[in-house]
Amino acid sequence: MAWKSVAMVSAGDSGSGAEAAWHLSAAGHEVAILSSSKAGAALAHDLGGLGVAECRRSAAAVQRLVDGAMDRWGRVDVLVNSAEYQPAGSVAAAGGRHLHGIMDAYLMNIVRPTRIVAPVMAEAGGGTIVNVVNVGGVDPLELAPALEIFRGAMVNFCTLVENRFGASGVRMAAIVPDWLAGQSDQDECGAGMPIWRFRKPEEIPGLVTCLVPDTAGLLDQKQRFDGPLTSQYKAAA
Amino acid sequence: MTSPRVALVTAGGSGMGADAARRLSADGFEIAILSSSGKGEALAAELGGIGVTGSNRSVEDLQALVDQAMARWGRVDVLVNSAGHGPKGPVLEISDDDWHTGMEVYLLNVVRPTRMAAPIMAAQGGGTIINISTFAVFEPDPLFPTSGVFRSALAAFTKLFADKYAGDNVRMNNILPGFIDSLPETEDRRARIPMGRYGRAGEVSALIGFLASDDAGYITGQNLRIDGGLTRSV
Repeated sequence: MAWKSVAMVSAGDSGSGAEAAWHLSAAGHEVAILSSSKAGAALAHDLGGLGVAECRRSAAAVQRLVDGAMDRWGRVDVLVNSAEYQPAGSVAAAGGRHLHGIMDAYLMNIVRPTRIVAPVMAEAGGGTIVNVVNVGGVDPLELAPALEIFRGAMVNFCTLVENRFGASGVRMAAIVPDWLAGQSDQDECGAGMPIWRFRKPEEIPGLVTCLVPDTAGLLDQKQRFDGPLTSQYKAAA
Repeated sequence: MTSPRVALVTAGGSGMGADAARRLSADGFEIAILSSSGKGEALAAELGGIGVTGSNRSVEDLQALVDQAMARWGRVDVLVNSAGHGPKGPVLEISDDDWHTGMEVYLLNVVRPTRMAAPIMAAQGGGTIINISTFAVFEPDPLFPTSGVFRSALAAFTKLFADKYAGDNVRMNNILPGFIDSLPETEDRRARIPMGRYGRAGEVSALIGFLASDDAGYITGQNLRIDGGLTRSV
């Protein structure tokens, strides 16, 4: 019997994470979902996969999901790291403790699963890690400042992991989307976008699925997906 | 009588920070230095300035630096933020605590003093903030993982800050040094540098001196590499 590719999705209970899980399942992957709510576990059940509904800031929860996937399928081929949206506030208002909290949500959410999954992939000969990064990893915008700071850090971390594990066949990709429709109440942000609308939830998972096959190995690791927002932002303002 | 020009240097007891303090003093700035070792206090005394021995992770110590400078000179024109050394190691073997420490050393070292100095600069009609960063911002180096990651974050912070305070004539720029002779040289590192030699601390300080001067009055939000060509392909 031919093996099926196994995909893990963190923050897979809603938004881009959930859509990615649906797409990957439809594309023939087994799916394992980590989420902070029961919605992720329910989705995993619907898709015939594995779910762990627990605070995903816990390394133990990640380990449990990886162990479950290894027990059941013996492999992990794909890891999709998404983030739960949370208002980050302004830089000026952000105290030291507050920034540590935001770092936990927007940098360590990627570091923790990667630390556990990348060596498993390297041992098996390779795998793909796709991080869905909010707008700003490349050119930060004033609208969600404290959050944007960690997008840059994340992209830098991705490259370090690629440098370390690339020779073992582990690839890392970062998708840098704009705001999801209904996620931001900043009207001027939608109006300033060249494509003149917010992103739809289903538009990211298609790209995730496209980045997963080995044939995508030569793609640049930072795919912008923002209706040229960041390239023209200053001109539009 | 003209008003003094005042420069604060954090983590300025040794290395590039200390060299920058000497340079800015030679350029005519009054100098206030914060350092954890006591060396900054000694250097400040030598330069006729203010020295505070304390930590750049402590809001109280940073506030003491700013308050003493304001009490003596009544203004802050330049803030130079240097840094200590953060955690290192193979990228996936760095613990959660060490990542958080990395943010303290390489990002909050700028955020905290900036929060204090920027309003003063804006109120007095202008000022400039110069952060000593790393060449590993745009293409990380496994030798300096937390430095690259959090100074990438610093690059984002700097753009945000530069946008917000540009109208107040408060500028912020990062200097991205390669391998500089303030640290012991190693042959394998030297071999990576197209110019075939380490940079001199004085060359970095010269750039800091320029950014601190009125001649650089139109430069803000930038990341300036000074690395002998080390990252020229990036």
